[in-house]
Amino acid sequence: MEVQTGIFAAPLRKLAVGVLQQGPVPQHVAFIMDGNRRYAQKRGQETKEGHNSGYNTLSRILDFCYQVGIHEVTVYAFSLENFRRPTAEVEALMEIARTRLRQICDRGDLVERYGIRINFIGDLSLLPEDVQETCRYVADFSRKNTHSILNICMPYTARDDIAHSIRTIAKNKVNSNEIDESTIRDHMYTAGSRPLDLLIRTSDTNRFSDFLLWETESRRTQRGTHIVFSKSLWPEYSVFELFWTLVKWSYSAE
Amino acid sequence: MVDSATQSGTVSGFFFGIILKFVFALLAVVKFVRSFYFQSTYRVEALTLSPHKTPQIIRNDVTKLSKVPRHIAVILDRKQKHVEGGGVEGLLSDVGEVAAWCIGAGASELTVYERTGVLKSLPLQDVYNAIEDRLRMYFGNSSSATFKIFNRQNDGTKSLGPSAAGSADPKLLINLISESNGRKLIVDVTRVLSDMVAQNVTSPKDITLDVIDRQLKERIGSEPDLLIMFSSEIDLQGYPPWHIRVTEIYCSPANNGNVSYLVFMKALHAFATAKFKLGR
Repeated sequence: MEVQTGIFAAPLRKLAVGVLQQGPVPQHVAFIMDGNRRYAQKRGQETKEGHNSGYNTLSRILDFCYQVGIHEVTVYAFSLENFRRPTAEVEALMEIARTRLRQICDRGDLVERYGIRINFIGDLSLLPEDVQETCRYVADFSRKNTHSILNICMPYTARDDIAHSIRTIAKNKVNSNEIDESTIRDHMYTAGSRPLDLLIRTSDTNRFSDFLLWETESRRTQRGTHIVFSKSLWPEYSVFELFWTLVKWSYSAE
Repeated sequence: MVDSATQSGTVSGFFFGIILKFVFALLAVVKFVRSFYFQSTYRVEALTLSPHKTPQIIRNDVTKLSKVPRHIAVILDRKQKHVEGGGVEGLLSDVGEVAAWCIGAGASELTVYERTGVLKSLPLQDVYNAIEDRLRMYFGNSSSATFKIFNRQNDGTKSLGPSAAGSADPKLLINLISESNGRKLIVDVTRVLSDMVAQNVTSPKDITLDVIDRQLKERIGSEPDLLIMFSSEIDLQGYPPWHIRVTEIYCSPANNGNVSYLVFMKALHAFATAKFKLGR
């Protein structure tokens, strides 16, 4: 995988990483990667091209996150609502999953470099059989890694996750007096993930679109979630913009 | 695995530390200049905005918009007692103001989220009267500003509406909610559903997303189209998580807790220009 550097050339990026590491670093960051299609449209490309550019941005951003020392990253890769998109586009996204997921497990690539365990969040059984197989392979391959975590939400919606948790609790016949917020949390697909420090959504859309609704913490609690709406389209989201967002987080956390 | 060059040397760490302090200082300056700029443009904008205590002017402001949200939610804070507009009194007048703007703008439902639940602990008649007094300042004694208020409790809602028998449907429905209607409500609903399964009234596979949605809606109303915060940074403060699925969120970095008509109008403007697409 080629890591494109954008405006942040390698030495400059190293400097940014070194600087950020001197302050507090968020432990869990989530991304809603919105704007691939608008990016393609703007440049007169096919939708598929937009998603490919989006993937390149993702690998660049992930690389930077783990270098800085962010322990856990969660990405909204595919919403349950996305199944309603044109078949060709859904297929293009599945093709990215098929090829790229195996690729990042290659020797010397992302997974090995940062010791990443990959978790899939959502109901995998809704995906095509071969994509499921790839997901199982990748999850299995990275299971023993303990250094960092990448949660890939696919196919996922927050409401579906809460409903899935409630259903599981009812099925397990948990005594209703013993049910509290932590019971619901523990039965979600996202159980076990760290408190969410930062949620970033791109493409100037100020909505959650059914992502991590339960996990977003009030800023009044000890470790609240900072919510950042960026105006950039996802393929245009730069390492520099992320750097600046992390500086701001660090500043207010200090 | 971690880039050793950036972690090791104490000398480079020292320099990086200095750079970080420098960047923080830069950030502080940027923040200061930004807030100064925001606040001055904000004042100018507030001046150009005509005095708005008449419904016609709100209507004029709204007619420029391509669409208006049906259901608006606001997060309000009780300010300290000694500051202007503070205490429960201040909170009640804020609710009244927002209610008047909503009616003026043509929204038909307003949800007021106040985290601690202080509004809900007041006698409902007192809240009703306070809002009615405030609406009178805008609409006079005309019947064009009728409303019905709901005190949303997880185990049963109390409501209060226009007293005159045979009066038309109220113009605005007002829900009062608090933190206990958030995750706690989802816990309560889980308990109810899990008891139903235990008693074989229903089976786990029948606990669908729609069933849960209906249970939650019944108790605290529907999802708002627009959620307005008056703080300078986004903080949901424990707002019911199920209910902000695709809600448009508005928060102005220029504002600082002030429940102002300008922020309200800007939020409506942002809502009207936002592109709505879900998944597709």
